[in-house]
Amino acid sequence: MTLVERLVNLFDKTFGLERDRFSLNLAPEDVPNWDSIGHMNLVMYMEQEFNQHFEVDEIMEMSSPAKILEILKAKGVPE
Amino acid sequence: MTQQDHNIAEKILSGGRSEDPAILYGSEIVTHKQLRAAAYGWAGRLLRQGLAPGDRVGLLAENSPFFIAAYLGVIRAGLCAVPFPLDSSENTIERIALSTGMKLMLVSARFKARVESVAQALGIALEDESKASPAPPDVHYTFPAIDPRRDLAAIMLTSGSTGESKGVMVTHHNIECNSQDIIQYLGLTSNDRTMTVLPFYYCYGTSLLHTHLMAGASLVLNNRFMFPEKVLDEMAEKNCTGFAGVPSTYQILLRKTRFAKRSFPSLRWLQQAGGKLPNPFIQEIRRAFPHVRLFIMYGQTEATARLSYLPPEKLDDKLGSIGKGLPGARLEVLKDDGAPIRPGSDEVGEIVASGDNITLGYWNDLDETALFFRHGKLYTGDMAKVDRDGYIFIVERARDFIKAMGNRVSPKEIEEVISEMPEVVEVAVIGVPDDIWGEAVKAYLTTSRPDQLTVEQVRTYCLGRLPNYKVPEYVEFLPQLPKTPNGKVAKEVLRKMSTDSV
Repeated sequence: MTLVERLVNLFDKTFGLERDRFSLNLAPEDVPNWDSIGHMNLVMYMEQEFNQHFEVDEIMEMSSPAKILEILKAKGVPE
Repeated sequence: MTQQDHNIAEKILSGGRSEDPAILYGSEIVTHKQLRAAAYGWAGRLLRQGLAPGDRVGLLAENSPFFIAAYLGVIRAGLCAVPFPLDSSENTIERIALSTGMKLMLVSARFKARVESVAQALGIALEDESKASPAPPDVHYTFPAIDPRRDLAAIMLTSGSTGESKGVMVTHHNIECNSQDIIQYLGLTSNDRTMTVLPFYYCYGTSLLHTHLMAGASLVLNNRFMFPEKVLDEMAEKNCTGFAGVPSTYQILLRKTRFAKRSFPSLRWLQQAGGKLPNPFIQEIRRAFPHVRLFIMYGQTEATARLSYLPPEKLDDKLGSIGKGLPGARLEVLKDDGAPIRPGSDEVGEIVASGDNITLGYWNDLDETALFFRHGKLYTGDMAKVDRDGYIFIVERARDFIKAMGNRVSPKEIEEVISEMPEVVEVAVIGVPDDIWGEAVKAYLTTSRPDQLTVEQVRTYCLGRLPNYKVPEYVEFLPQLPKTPNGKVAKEVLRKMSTDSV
């Protein structure tokens, strides 16, 4: 599975976001429940999925799937 | 005035002009008239369920028009609202539902799954946000009369000294008096509009709800403070006149966003409560927004919300002070023998409060109530000095709570989790000053396997068992923990060690 596909799954698991609504440029206000609580759930699932720990600064920068991808790649998660 | 006109929800729901906005939530706008109809819709529905006056109704929802309508509907119907913290686990929900003898729970869609099995097991009725429709304008309800000084509008949950949450019993009269004081000193009018990021289950958030709606003002709800720059965008776009935060809110805005460099032409005031904002941050805000009135305030859930404020014009002169008591709240600073400390001296005493905002005590907990509520006064546990002009300066909290990200964190809960690790011998958790979180959690521990247990292992263990903000930011191993003569861990020594090591 590619990194983007794993992210699509995580958005589905966390927010119940239908796959065809996923795009790399989604903003939190486009996704119901992507508020502070939803975001912490997303981070928790990502930490499990990618076996990574995220710093506060990284968490606050994850405001779109595209930015999340950048952060994951910078941490060496393979595409 | 009839007896039922004392209902605080009625006063809050009658505060605004019908067609003025009361709530702005994303692209949704709810007018005062629509909010009143929605709250009456819930009140009517609850009364038809056969609930008796004073019955407890749980509420688990993020800040939303649903939360506000349901909360005010519960109170309007003469029932008692119990808002759950959003991170409540199933066990916590069960414990609170049982101890309050809850009859019904109202939940937003996203939390339904978390409460369903608890509600079923305890035989508690469950209603989700889809269930109520606004009351038709021509329907006339007869709501049960309430006694404003005795009947509870809400039970607000707060962490107790043992780490278990306690329910503070708040009456209709408590809310009315405290709200009127706050409206008066902030000078709130129907022209005000506040950016609201604090949760409504927390007394500071609830006080924003009470005061703004009562003054006919409006609330912009934004639950995405994790993306603070976006909150600021909305604040500017929606012409907010006010903003309220806890220390970490301002610390994040000043350190992680362009807050201080941006322009907010409509902004009239900022308010801060929920712990001590370090003086350098207060000064930074003053420099960035010289024309905005900054209110530094102090309060406790046990006092409904607010106890004191420092008038903005005194900020430079009395930097670091929590000000003086509100018009309706008398604050004294008393020594152990009950005598007041001498203003202008170095004497330290406990802040003791009296007034119509002091609540009735803790639900179902006579021991704790007797400890903190004595002779009609609230013993706050906060230790303070008073200067010669009567301004109060808090020296330290007698209670050991850590205030991380605006959350009241009980060290005991974290200590218990870490103690579960087999390699851990002893652990003590304290709060250390932190520019971003207000206070960060630091754990000191001794281990039986110094060669094996790592800082990362401790943090990872906590990550799976505690909400993120309770996971220790710092972990330090010691050969032994400092102790007091009676064998208790000397946390004061640890605090000093941690300060000295910075």
